[in-house]
Amino acid sequence: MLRLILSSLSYFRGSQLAIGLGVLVATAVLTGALLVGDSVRASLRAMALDQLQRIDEVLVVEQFFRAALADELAAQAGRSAAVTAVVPATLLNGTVEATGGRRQRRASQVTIVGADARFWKLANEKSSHTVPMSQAGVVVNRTLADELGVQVGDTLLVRLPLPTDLPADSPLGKKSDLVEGRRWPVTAIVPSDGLAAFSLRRSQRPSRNLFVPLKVLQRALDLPGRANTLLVAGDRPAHGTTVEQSRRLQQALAPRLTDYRLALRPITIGDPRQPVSQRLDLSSRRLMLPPAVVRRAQEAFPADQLQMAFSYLANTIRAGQRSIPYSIVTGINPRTGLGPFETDDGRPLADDEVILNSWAADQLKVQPGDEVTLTYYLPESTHGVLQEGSPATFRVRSVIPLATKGEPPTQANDPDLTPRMPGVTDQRSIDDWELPFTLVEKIRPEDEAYWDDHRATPKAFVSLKRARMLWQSRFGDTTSLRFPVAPDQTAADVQARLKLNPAELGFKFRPVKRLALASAVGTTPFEFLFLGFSGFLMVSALMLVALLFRLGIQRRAVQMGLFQAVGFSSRRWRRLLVIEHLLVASAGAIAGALAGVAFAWLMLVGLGTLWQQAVSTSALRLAVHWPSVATGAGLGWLVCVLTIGVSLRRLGYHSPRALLAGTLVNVRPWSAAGPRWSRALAALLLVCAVFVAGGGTWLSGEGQAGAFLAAGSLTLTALLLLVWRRMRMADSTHSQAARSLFAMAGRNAARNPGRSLLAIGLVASASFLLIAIGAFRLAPTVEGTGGFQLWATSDQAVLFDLNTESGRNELGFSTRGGERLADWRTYALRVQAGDDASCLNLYQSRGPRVLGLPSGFLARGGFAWAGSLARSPTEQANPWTLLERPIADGAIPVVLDAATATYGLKIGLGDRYQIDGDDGQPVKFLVVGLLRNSIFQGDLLVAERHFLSQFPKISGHRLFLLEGQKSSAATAANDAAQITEILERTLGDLGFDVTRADDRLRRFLDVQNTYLLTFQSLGGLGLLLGTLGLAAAQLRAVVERRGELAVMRACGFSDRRLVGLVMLENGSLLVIGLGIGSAAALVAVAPRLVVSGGSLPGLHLAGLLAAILAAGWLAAWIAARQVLRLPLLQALRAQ
Amino acid sequence: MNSLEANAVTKTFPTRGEPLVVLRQVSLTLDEGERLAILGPSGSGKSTLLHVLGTLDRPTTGEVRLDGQNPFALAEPELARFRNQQVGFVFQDHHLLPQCSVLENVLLPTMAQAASASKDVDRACELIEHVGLTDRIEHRPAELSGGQRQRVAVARALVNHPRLVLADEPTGNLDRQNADLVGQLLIDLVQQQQAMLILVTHSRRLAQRFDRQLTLEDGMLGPWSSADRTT
Repeated sequence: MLRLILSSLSYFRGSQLAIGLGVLVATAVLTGALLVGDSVRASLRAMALDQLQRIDEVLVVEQFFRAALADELAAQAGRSAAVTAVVPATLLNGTVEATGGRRQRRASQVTIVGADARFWKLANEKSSHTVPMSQAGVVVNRTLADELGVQVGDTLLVRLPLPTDLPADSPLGKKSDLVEGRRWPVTAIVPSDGLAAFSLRRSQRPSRNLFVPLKVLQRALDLPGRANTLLVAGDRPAHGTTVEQSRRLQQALAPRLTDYRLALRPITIGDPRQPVSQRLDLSSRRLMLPPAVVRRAQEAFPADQLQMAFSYLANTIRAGQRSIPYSIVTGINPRTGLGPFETDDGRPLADDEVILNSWAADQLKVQPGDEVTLTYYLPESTHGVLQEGSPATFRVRSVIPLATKGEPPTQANDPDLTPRMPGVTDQRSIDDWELPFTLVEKIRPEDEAYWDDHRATPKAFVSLKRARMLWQSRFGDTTSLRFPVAPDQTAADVQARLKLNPAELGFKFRPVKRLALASAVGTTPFEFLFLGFSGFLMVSALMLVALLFRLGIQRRAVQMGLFQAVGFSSRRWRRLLVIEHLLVASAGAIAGALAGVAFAWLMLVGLGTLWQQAVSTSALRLAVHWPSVATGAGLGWLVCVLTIGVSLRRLGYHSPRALLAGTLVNVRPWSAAGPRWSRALAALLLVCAVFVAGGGTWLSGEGQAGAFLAAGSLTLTALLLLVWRRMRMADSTHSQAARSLFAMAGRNAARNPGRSLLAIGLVASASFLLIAIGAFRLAPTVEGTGGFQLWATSDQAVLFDLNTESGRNELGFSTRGGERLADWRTYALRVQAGDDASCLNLYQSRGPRVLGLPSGFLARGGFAWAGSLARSPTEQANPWTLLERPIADGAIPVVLDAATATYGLKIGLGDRYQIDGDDGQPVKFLVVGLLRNSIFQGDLLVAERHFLSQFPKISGHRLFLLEGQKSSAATAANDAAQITEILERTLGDLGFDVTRADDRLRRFLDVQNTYLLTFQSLGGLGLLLGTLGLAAAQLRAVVERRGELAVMRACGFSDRRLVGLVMLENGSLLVIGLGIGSAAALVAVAPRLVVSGGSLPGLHLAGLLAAILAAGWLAAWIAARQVLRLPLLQALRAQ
Repeated sequence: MNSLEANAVTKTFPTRGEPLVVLRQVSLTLDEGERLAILGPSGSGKSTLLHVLGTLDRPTTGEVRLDGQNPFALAEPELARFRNQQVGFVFQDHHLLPQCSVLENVLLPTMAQAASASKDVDRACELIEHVGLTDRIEHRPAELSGGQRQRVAVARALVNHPRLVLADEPTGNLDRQNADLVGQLLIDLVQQQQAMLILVTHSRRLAQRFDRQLTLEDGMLGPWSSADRTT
């Protein structure tokens, strides 16, 4: 039996080779798709490891701490956390300008790394970079250098954000001069790999980095010896730290109070030998104590050993016509021993009572029982505008003595109740105060005299509760903590008892390497994507396998009849065939698996070139994982064997006589009328298509496209059914006898309806899909941009309102520029930095960017929605209002783009999601709405008030949406370029960068459109393969029909006419298939184009179909030419 | 006067060894309406002779003329036209097109140069009636018996009024009754249109109905002896 099989394989090697090639192609496609997925993941992993090198953990803190903390941590954590190096650095986000040449070039969102030589030692041993860090200049990576067009020796203007202790949104926070510009020469340009591409955000797009010596940066920022980053290298550079190692590292971190910007000082009032009052005072250079510190203190100390104070600057204290300006008022509950006063009846201060010191009472001429009124600025400002709070009225409870110069101090003589504030508390006079607002109240000589004698000693005291009611904000509600002094309670004791948790105060390590490797699994399953793209290649290959197998079997029909005639059972000779073809399939699968490697390589080349818009990188490299190769081979083999098995099964039973006669066709022609069911079914399908298409006009977006696609599919099926019906009908009345070459060609094509329909069906389906899939091409729409023309970002916070004249003046707009901008409405959004979770990033996001939307934006509405949890008519009319809906468990309502939700974060409507907050606590969201194809891809959108509650430290706005107000959308679009220039020129110091909103949207949509293009390209390749394969099959069929062709030649058919007949047969199948497919595709595409706009890549598709038609005709011509070479005469001889 | 002339026709085929000489200096002449039967053993070159006379194959040496014209001097398209208009073939294995009806098979030669005209259809129907298959005119070959198929092949050969009809063992696959029927049909129809008929057969019975009989042995034509006439 084996000899028989092998000899058959050898004899029929031509047809078996063709089948094997079909198996090869199918397997190559399967294997290649799996390898593409493996390669993308491996490339992302390699990129992540390359960018991080040996860095496993990173700590980045908002405030600057002692760089020496690195050495302390290294000593502490060395063994327990498997730490091999701890390096201090400063990481900033800044703007860099190239100032030479004709055109100024600017790069924003540049990572500025302040580092010393220790940073570069964090590279792997294999890394080839030795970066010369010169104190005289900066080093840039190639990506930044190319963007700026600079070379070594050119000068860069680097704009550095200056750190501030006070939030800009607080009344006392600086709102200007927050950016320092420094000019540095470029001393080296390094390739953008290794640590030169260091980035904390995972993206396949190379980061733009500028490296400056740490000491130089410290000098520029006026922060000698300080840093804001710790980089930790572990002992597993290829994997990162384990969870346990991360925990130990975090435990080993022990910042000092000064690192937290805290100070714990002993305060003594009076003679130290006999003090009036003594205490330990904990305050912050940031004015407000972090809530975590207050919480810890309350947990660690009983109420009688802890006193909280909240000091605030009141603009005036008034009593009748008298007022005193700019006074410190302290909210505090007095404690025995801690002061600052004692009530006569021991009753605590009521919330409507105030205690004045004697100086204030004297100035206001008030006594106990009188009323006084406090005016003040609200503790939070927006757009740099200070707002006065509602005046607060109090009843004077009592007057406490304030000692004057020369007198022994009283408990009220306590200027340390006011936290130190450089520029204010250290100034000699009130006039010298360096405040971000103008002092509008009149400063009298008495006020200056008070300042001379008492500095910031509070003039009034209210209850802590009332103070918090008036002045607490997202920045805090306590300015100092006071602890009694005791022999067993020193400052060290207090600090030890507080047990401050670094993670709660922003000192939290991130296991960046472990997170990077986890996110390298990516968001897009490329193996399935390419399997889908290459589906037609596979289908064509499998169709060829089935077709060629059937042709081969037909050719061997006589043999099979002979087998049966000599006694082989049907089962036995079928097994012979199966084994023979299993061997072919095995060989094809093995070869195909290897060819799959080449296919994968080709696809990666495509992704890096033609289809780069989908992946935004050319750095994807082939990674051959042999398990995937084996899986592809196995699956390919299995699929092909199943195909052959199905084809064999469909052979059905044929009598030995029929087989010996070479007959395998059991087609009984229908009557001339044909069965009614086929016509009725086709009519029903067409009617359904009309209804579905009509229904599609009521839908929108993908739903509409899907409806039209369904209508096209129904049309396609109906047309194929009609063709099939036509072919099978007996059509030989006198008037319809084939009398022309064309008719003969049609008759020949119809002699094997199954085969012909397979050919027509493949071509029709392929061309239908190739054209119809274009209906899903997306173009930017007004709904997608929300009607906005411009999208802008800034590296540094914009603290003033672009919509007001005063705001524009503060920002430095010229008169003309301000007037132009006045015609535009700007919505300013808050930004909490995070990963890019849009389709532009191949990495999986671990913490997307969060945007805080102002209430005006929510009220404005707009954008298209893919779904929402709207219930009420108000919410349904404007789902943005859902962002204000309270959620029972305290989760924050969030809206995001549907694509980001589905593909980036794998969440849906109604799902919960969480990210890490600043204080180490998770921030929990509830998805209440999904936008469709919007410019907000990649971001989480929340209401501004929720944003500020979760990210209180964020001041100002860094993302802006602009729309023209006083002109049509078309005019606004035209003005956009001028507005862009005005904004970027005026706000260049802040790194202001403007993009057209539709361009931004187009970048997102281009990803999907590129994937569609990929599908069309590979689908076209599949169709081409199918066409060529069909021609090969036709050629085989021609060979089988050489007897007929010989007769026709004997009857006087010229060679040319015979060739024409064969070409007509081939061509008619192709043209009918393309025609049906195109017609059905028009049904799918045309309504959507009319209704929704957009366009087809007509040139691309026309070219593709023309190429297929040309290839088909060429193949048919080759087949036809073969006719001339056939030994037709032998066919005429009797067998 | 219509006539067929073959002068010293030789046909050799190349092989791996010596060339195979199938026809050796074959000469014959046939006049209008004349019927010739050629007999001979298998492999004697009978089919090759018919193929050469019918311009399906070129002689290695020698000449063939029909009505004074040497068809091998024509270019291929003209040769095809010549064959279409002047020659009709009937093969042992009928070689009907299985996908075509009886009518379409008979009409096949009329499509060789251009589409069939209405007069061609009338002619085809007439011939189909002559061969007794009017009631099967729309049937496919698979639905006909062997004899019926061969009758269709005969009608096909005559549809274009050829001058010369060449039949290569047309009854070889038929039983005696059908063989007699088809053979007589062929003779009658050819006679009707005064065409020349050359028939190759093993059947002495059929050969005896012809005006002339020749044998072909070892590639050479010779007379058919009277002893061979016995049935």
